[in-house]
Parts: sequence; structure tokens; C-alpha cells
Amino acid sequence: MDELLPRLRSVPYYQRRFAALFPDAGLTAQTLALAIAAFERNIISTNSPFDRYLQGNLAAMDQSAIQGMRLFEGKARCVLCHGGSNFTDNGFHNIGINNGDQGRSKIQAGSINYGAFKTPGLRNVILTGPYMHDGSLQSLEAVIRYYNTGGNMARNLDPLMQPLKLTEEEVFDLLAFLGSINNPVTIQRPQIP
Amino acid sequence: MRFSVKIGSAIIFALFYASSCIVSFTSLQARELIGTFLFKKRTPRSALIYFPEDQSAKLQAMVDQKNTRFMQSIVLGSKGEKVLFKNSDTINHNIYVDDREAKVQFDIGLAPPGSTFEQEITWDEGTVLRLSCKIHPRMRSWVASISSPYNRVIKFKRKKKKKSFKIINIPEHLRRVKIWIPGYDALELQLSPGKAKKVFITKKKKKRGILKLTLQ
Repeated sequence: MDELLPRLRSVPYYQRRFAALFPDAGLTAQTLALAIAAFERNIISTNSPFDRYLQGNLAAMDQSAIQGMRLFEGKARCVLCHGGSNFTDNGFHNIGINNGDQGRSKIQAGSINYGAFKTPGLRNVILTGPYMHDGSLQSLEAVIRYYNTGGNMARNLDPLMQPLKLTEEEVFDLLAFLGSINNPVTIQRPQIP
Repeated sequence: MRFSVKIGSAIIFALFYASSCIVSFTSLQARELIGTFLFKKRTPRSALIYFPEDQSAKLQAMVDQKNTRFMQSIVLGSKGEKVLFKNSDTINHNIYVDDREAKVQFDIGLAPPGSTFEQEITWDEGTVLRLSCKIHPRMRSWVASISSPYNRVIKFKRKKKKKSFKIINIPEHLRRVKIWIPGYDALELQLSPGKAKKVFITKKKKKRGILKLTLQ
């Protein structure tokens, strides 16, 4: 921040815009954070095949993805953490990716936080590999197969982690569903004004 | 005999008349507080208003969790009593408080579905603590150590910027009222019977609304 703020303040456009938007404060670490947060709130992925299906377009998803959706909500138990419009409960869970990282408990003390990491949202997840907090799983298929095992034995493993007994067909149906919540948001790379 | 009956009747009538006078006198002395909130933009989820001078109540609090939310926004409990934490959800939760300023910290650990936990209220009168869940940090609720029987927790609807409320049967001698809204600046007012009072509701000293109070 010691380097960033002077660099940003040396750009007349940023000086003018921050003075107009934040007349009391101008360009500070706090107002910079507010501006970035406002930008991030505008990155909204909608109109995926799944969204269109929910809005009544029954042809938007194929049968495999529809079956995957049912598994997501039911037998595969994904919705227990990956629920809501952003497919996340914004919570922290230890799913047994056991590489010795203390996870959330490094930030907030408590045995309940040991090895727990934030539930990511799943929109556009087919584009965001590799997966897990350490990138240890290279593909979504590997992720589904990992959850199918119920996770590795780990200290503070979340009780929600249980073997799923998914068939091969069900694994690929789930994959098809995860592919259906895909609608990338294109952002043009900005130039410094 | 007739004379005795007449005296007896007179005494009974006098007692009846006297008791009705006492009831009337008492009713005259109880006041009611009428208030109206009006917010400029966003409304809070809830607000607490109470008369702090009377601390005669022994209030027990209860907080429940369902659908990854606390079902109560603000609960009141008296110091020395208990707050009951329930988990009526289908998933694990947790409840903790970490308030360095009030020097209150506790963590009930893992709360499985269907579990209950009793926490003794050890913090001072008038302290409001934030409850949260370590698994789902966006969950928020508040437990206030309040022993005033004259209190109201007001719930707001998101799109309704105006909200009125009433507190009744307030003893005549109570004048001071406290208002606490999560995230807003706390208010403490001295009221005069029959005189409306208007104050700004502020957040970090920026005006966010108006509260009008009349003690009548």
C-alpha cells in the first residue's frame, strides 16, 4: 500500500474521480477498497444454461445435466455447502484435503476452524481449475471422485463429508451439471488513464 | 339488625369505591411511549429501545438457527440469567462471541442439528454482544444484557422505511430511554411527558434517518 497509493495518486484521472466520489477522504486505502469492491459486485454471471432452465426454458439443459442437478441437490449432497444463487454458503469447511495447512484457524482461533477453507462459488467452475485450496486436484472429474470417497481422514473433518456411492454414470451427470452453470463474464483489460 | 346491615353495606360500598379510585389512579399514572422510525435509504434489520432506569425484570434469552440464519436478530437476557442457543437447522453450526471491548469471549464449539446449549449471562447490564458462527461467518445476531421490563425489539421490513411502535404501561417516573441499532450510533434521550422529541439516527455521525418519540 505504501507503494501503491502514491502511484495511483500520481494519475490525475484517479485523483479527480476519487475526489468526486469521496469528497471527504479522496484516494486512501479504504476508498480504494470500496472502489474495488464496487467493481467486483458488478461481476455477475447469469444466463447460464442452468439459469435459463430455472426460468422455464426446459431445453436449456440436456438430460444428463438435469440428472446431475438432481444429484447435486440430493444423493451427492453438494448443495449442503454449495447452495444458493452463487453455489456457496460463504462458510468454512474441512473437507479432508490434508496437507497440514491449518486453514481458517490461522486467521480465527478455534478447533472448529482447523483445516477449514472457504466454500468457493461454482459458477464458471469448469474454467477455474486446478481445484481445492492447494490446487491438488487437476480436473472436476477428480473432484467429484474425491467427494465420492467421503474425503481423507483428517483432524476436524466436516461431518458432512460422507461416501456418496455414486455410479460412473452419476459422476458424469454431475460433471454435465457443473458445465451447465457456465456463463463467463468478459472484462476488457483496462488501460491506465 | 337493620342498622347493622346498613352499616355493613356502607362499608362494602366504601371499600368498592376506594378500590376503584386506586385502579383509576394507577391507570392515570402509567404512560405509553409512541415512536416512529423513518430511514432515508436502507432500513436496519432491527432496533432495540428500552427504559434503563428500571432493572427489575429477570429476562431469559433464546436464539435459534435455521436455513443458515439466526432466527432472532436481537434477544434480551438479564445478567445472572441464561441465554439458550438452539440449532433447529439441518447442518452444523457454532456460536461465539469475541468482544475485546466488553471483555467477553466464549465459544460453544460445534452445535450439531437439534442441539441446545445454555450460556450464563455474565456481562454487565446494558452490554450488547454480537453473536456469530465460525462455520458461517455471515450469520449475525445480538444478545443484550437488559433487565428492563419496558423494552421493545422492533423488526423492520427491507423496503418499508417508516415503522411505528408503542411501549405501554410505563411507570410514571421513567423518563430516560436508550435506543440501540446494530451498526448505528447509540442514542440516550431524556423525555418529557406530552412533548414529542425528534432525533437523527446516525451511522458514524452521518444522518441516516429520524426517530420521533412521544411519552404520553
